[in-house]
Amino acid sequence: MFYNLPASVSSVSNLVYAIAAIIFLSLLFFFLFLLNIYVLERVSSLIYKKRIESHGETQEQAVALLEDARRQAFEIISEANMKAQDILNKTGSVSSESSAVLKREVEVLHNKHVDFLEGLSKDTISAYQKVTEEEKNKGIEAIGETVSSVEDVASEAITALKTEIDTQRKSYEEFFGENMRKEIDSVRKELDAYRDKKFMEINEQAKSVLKDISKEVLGRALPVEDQEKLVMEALDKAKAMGVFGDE
Amino acid sequence: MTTEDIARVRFDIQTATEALYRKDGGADVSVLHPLVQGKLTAGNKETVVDSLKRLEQDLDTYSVLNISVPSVPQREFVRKICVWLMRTLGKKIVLSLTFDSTLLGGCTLSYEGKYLDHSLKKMADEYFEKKEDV
Repeated sequence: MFYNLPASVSSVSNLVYAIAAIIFLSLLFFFLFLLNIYVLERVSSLIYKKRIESHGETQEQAVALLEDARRQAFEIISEANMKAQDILNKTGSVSSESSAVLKREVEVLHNKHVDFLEGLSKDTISAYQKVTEEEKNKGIEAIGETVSSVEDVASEAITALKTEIDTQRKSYEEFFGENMRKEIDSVRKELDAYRDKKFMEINEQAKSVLKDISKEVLGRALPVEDQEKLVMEALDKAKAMGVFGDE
Repeated sequence: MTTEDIARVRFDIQTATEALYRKDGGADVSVLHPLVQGKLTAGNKETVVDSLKRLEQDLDTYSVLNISVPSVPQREFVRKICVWLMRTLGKKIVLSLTFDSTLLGGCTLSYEGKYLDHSLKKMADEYFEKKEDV
């Protein structure tokens, strides 16, 4: 754009002022470009920190930040444009034709800057949205992988826990089963002994009752003649056994 | 002769002896035991007294046969036993009868330290023991 300056500029000092204004605008443009980069970096950092958990909020903050930066950039460019106009106005020796050409060139430059900034902002937002979308997808994927990993770990832990529980259960079952069997055998033996004892007692009682009844019946049913006969038999038996001494 | 007979003879001997020495003389001998009555007909007073003393001494020579029975026997059966003892054994044995209802039937005998159980109780016990062994 330097070599686009009109040749009708007669005064060297005016030319210097014009060049200074253009350089000033160029520097300003470069500064705004760096500012945009800085803002983008800040936003990316913020996104990285917030990740997916506050994705919506971060996106809104980033868009607001970009809008604010763009607005500030417009203000600075406008202010720079006004400054450039003011510089040009102060150069009273510049001819009206030269001044108009210069003003037009400055305006063209200003519009270019504005278009560039707008495009840059749009590209930045688009890039940011792309980056955030990728980050979101990465986050979701990472969460999925993490969930899958956690599921695997949990599954392994649960399997190990189940195995341990089964082992312990079997051990307890064997231990208690053995003790239970011993206890049951012991109780069964005691019950058998108790049952046998009771059977014997009942049997003895039954025998005793039977004897008593039989004896009672025998005693009552014995005729006098048979009783006398028994006594005489006893005497004969005693004699035969030598109860009465030698004959 | 039973132990009751022996006791009555002893009592009658004492009664008769006392009656002989009474001043009023006579005594009703009909109530006395036949053994005593037989001695009273012996002759004079001293002879009678002497006979009674010998009779009393003779009673001491009898040995006792204890027979236990479950119920009171009839008098005739007791007499039968006494006759059997006298005729079969020819010994001076006096019969002592006792009663034990647990014997059920039969009797137990004991004589001069020897014992015989011929009761239904024992027979029944032996019967049940054999049954239990089987």
